[in-house]
Formats: sequence, structure tokens, C-alpha cells
Amino acid sequence: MTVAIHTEGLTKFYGKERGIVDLDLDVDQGEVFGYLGPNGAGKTTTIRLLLDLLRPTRGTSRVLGKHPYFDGVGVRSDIGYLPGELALYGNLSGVQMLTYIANLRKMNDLGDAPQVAERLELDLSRQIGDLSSGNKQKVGLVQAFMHHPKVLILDEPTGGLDPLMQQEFYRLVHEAKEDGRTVFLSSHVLSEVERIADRVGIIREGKMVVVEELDTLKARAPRRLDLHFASPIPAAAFEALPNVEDVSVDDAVVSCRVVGSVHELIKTAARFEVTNVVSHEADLEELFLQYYRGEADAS
Amino acid sequence: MIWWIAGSIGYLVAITATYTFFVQQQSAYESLLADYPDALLAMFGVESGAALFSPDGYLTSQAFGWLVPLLTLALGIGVGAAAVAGEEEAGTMDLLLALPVTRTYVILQKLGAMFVLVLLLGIGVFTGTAVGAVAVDMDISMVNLAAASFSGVLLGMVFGTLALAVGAATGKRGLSLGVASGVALVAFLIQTLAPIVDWLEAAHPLTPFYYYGDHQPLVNGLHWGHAGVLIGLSAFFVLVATFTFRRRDISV
Repeated sequence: MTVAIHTEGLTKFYGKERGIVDLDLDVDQGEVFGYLGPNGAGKTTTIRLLLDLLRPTRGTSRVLGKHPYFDGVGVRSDIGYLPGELALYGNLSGVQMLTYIANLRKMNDLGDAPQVAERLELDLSRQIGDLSSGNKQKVGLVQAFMHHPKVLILDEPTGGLDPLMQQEFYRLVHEAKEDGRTVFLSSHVLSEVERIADRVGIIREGKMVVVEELDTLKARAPRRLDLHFASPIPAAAFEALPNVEDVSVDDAVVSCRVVGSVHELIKTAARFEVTNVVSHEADLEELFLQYYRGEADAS
Repeated sequence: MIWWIAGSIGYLVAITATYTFFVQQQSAYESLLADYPDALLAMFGVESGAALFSPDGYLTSQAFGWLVPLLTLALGIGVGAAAVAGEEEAGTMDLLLALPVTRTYVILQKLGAMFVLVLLLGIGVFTGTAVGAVAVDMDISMVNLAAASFSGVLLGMVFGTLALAVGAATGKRGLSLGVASGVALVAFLIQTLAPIVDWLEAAHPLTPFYYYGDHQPLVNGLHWGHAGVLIGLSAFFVLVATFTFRRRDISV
């Protein structure tokens, strides 16, 4: 499979201030990639380097094999981009602004814009300056999707969208993926990408901490387990077990958090009479917070 | 913008149309002018009292000596500063440069827009003055009037492209406005005071104003060499704008 986005040792410093450091990243074509990290980690810097809005301090990047600087026009005609801090021409109507963009993209018409706008329930005839922030965000999304780009680079795409519109946005992303197109979306919250991303990369303080399939990460995330016993149980029996932490005992119910294999826990529990096992959803959020704080190991 | 140009036209019509009234009062004004210091007269483009009453002298003192350059300058600088730096500060530059266009293309498009606007103002200046002149049957050549208006356009473009260059190099709109207006003010003072201050005389040809009005286009028509200098200066600033803008990071 061809690589849609490739960076190698990509580094950007603003004077002495860190942007990103030695970033290696490969996003395959047809993949939905979630780019996660706390604010200021370097997500926007990475994206703006790919668009040649910034020039790298060192390292290289390619989009569909093309160089952002030497073939900037080629790169940018393949990309649909939604800026993180979206600013639009407030004195234009939606149609006027999209027409302006379509002209600069050398399109003959507004492309997919009318359909996308309709799905997002956006009135394109209204003056952009009068729109709510959620509706402005929709204008941003429409212009990113309008030319049916091979690569969508969306910086914090669902900010300001109501839950119904978020659903519609997820469908748009899903359809783009079905089409074999690539979607690269950044976010500082996991929930935004959890349902649509195939893989996620987590960046922290300018460095990539982990790049992993979402499913693999889920297996690695801590889970809360409740073990119900026939009679009260001594907490001490469970406290020292590997992979088990945060043990609390309430009469005949042992509650604990497990990271990784539950083998030792189940073996120990089996020595008593287990009446029920309740497993809670993997706490991916907790794992991400650990990565954000720099606590999780990057293996 | 449209109101601004319309207002200028209206003013110019009114000013030109009152020429007859002004000439009727010539003797009264002459005695008044005798008391004015030369520096003040120079500021309004009047080198001698008598010249004030000729059609070109009147138009220079009332419009082309200060108002017309002020209008074209203000428009040029305003548009020039907004072109790159203004758009960058507003945040829309990200969206624009994420499109498949080169930065050079963006600069040239902005330049084109600036030229159209300043030219429209120039046409407004010409129309306003011409209407007023015809109304009072003023003895002035329409060709020279057009030449003077066009010189004003070129002058506006020089400072407009200077503002464009500073904005393109730095992305700072305030700085771009400040530098271009500051340079314009200094240049204006030099050209104003040059006739009466000896040591400034030498500096006069260094200011764009010299190439705008020194050969008196209202009397002599367009001076191609001088127009060429103004165009050359603008072209140089556009080159600087393009070169610096292509090289740097775009701020968020």
C-alpha cells in the first residue's frame, strides 16, 4: 500500500522554542489516522509543515510522495485542509467564499460542497460573519471536502459541532475511507477519534510517544473488574498480584483495576467460590492520560 | 471604500467649481498671502502668490499638491498592509495558502487588486476635477489632468507596495502601516521644505514625491522618466515582498 503521509526526522523549532522533534510518521492510503496529544504538543505544527505553511528546521516530509515545498501546488491540490484555528472571510456568504476557493482550486463548479453542506444542515447563502461558531466550523469542513481530496487533513474537526452533526461528520469520514481516501485528524480528546480511527499516534512535548492500532491500545488499557464471591474475602489475597492495582474489598465483592493479562487474578480468584465477574469497558481514556503525563512506557 | 472614493470626487468637484469665485477675490487673497510664511505656502504646493491664481496653481494648492497624494497614499498603504499582514493576522492566510497556489501568485493577485483600487481612486480624482473644471470653464488640459491623476496613482502604488513588502516580510500589519506612513511623512516633509531649506534641496530627488509632482504634470503632462522611476520603485518593493514572503513561516 502506498504511503499517504510520510515524515522522517521532521523537526521544527520556533527560535529556541520547541515545535516538534525528530518526528517519524507513516500514514497509509485509505487509513483514518487519529493524531492525539495535549494542547501545545505539536499537532498543529506537524500539520502546517505538511502544507508548507511552515518550513522545517530539519527532516523531510512527503504527501503522496510529493514534497511540500518543491511540489507545493501538487501537494496542496491533493489535500483538503481544515485549520485548527479556523478563520474565514466574514464579509462573504458561504457560497461566495466557496466560489472563491473553487476558483483558486481551478474547479468548474462547487464540487461536493452543496451536498456536504446539506448533510451538515448548513445554509450557504448566509453571511459567514453572522454564523455561530459551529456553523463556521461546518463551512470549514465543507471547503475541506468540496474537491473530493485524496488526503483530508483535519485539525480538531468536531470542535463546536453538536452531537448530531458529529455523527454526520463521522459518516463523511467513513465514506472517505470506503473510497480509499486518507483521513488524518488531530484532536486533544480521545473520544473524538476513538470511533473512527484505525490507528492513533500520540504526541507529547513535540515527540511521538506511541503509534498503534486502536484495538491493540485497547488491549493494553486498564480495565476495572468486579469479582463477586459467595462469602467475604480477605483483600490481602489480591493486593500483591501482578497487573492488578487499586484493589478494594466490599464484603464479598473485590473490585480492582487490571492492566494486561488477567491470568494471575483469575487463578487467585478461582481458589474461592466466584459467583460473578463483571468487566467494565477498557479505560482507554486513562491510558491516554498516562501517555499525556508521560507515565506509560512507549513500548 | 466606495463612499470614500465618492466623497473624494465630491470634494474635488466642489473645490474645482469654486475656482471662479476664488479668482474674483484675487486681490483680497493676494494681500492675505503676502503675510503667510513661505514654508506654509510651500506645504500646499504654492511657490509664489501669483501662481496660485492660474488654473494649475489653484488645482495644485487645493488638491494635487497634498490632497490627491494623501488619498492615493492612504488607500495604497491601507490595502498594502491588509494584503498579506492583515490577512495573516486575521488568520485567513492559512486557508488561502493551503490551496494549490504559490505564494508568488498570492502576492501578484494582491498587487493586482491594489492597483485596481488605487486606479479607481485615480479615475475618481480625474473625473471629479474634470467635472468641476468643465462646470466653471477652467482653462486646463484634460490630458494633463489625467497625467496628474495618474501620477497620483503611481505615487500611491509606491507606498502601497512598500506597505505590502513590509507586511509580506514580517506578517505584522501595524508595523507595515507604521513604516509606510512614516516614510511617506518624511518624504512629504522633504519635498515640501526642499524649496526653502538649502540642505534639503539635495535630498528632494530621493523622495517619490519629486517624481510625482516636480515637473508639474498639470502644466507639462506626464514625464515618462519620472513615471518610470515610480513604477521601478513599486516593482522593487514587489520583488522584496515576493522574495521575503516565499522564504518564511506563516504565523497562526
